[in-house]
Amino acid sequence: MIAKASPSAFSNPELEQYFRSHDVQYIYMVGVFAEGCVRSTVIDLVDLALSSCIAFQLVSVLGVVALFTHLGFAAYWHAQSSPRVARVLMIDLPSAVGVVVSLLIVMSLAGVLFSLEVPTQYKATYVLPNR
Amino acid sequence: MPKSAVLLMDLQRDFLNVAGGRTPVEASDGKAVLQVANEVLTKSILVDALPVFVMNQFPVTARIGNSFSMEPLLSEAPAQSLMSGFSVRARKK
Repeated sequence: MIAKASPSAFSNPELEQYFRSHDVQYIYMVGVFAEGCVRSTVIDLVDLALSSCIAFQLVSVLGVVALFTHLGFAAYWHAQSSPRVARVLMIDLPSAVGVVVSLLIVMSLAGVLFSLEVPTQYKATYVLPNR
Repeated sequence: MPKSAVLLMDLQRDFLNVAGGRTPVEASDGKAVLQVANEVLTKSILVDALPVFVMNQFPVTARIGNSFSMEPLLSEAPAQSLMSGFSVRARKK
């Protein structure tokens, strides 16, 4: 039982914690006022999902950049006898590649590189059987 | 299989009980909502979904919010309680 004092059910943070602890991925709604509490709850749910998605993308991007930069530093230390300019490039180039790869990842997730189609099951409204 | 949940929102006497509700919907609409809720709770539909009741509950100290209500939704008020007619007892958290 979740108690709330605002229209949205997610105004009580216990609900989000409950869903996360139970690894809930699909949420159905049964309510009285579609234009009121149900609407507010759905809007908050979308906000939560988008926040999680953005946080996931940021972590992915930082991870990719860190990986390439790490490889650059490894090359830097393995090429002690090379000229300094070449060694600096050994860091800069992998780092730049990491940034480019990260951008490509973000663009692909954002649907810039290729069109994304929202699955029909996500757009479908649940219809009660035999009614 | 991905886990799913079903939110049962505001199924309270205040909204569904035409006789005693503060802002009730039409009796037929309220009956339809209860029927769907019962089908969820008896696992006739959305079999794998975890039912979660969500209720309005204003604390007594919420004087500003309550001042706009003719019958405040205090936790002790009858209108605060769940609408009767469920065939399965709600799972307490």
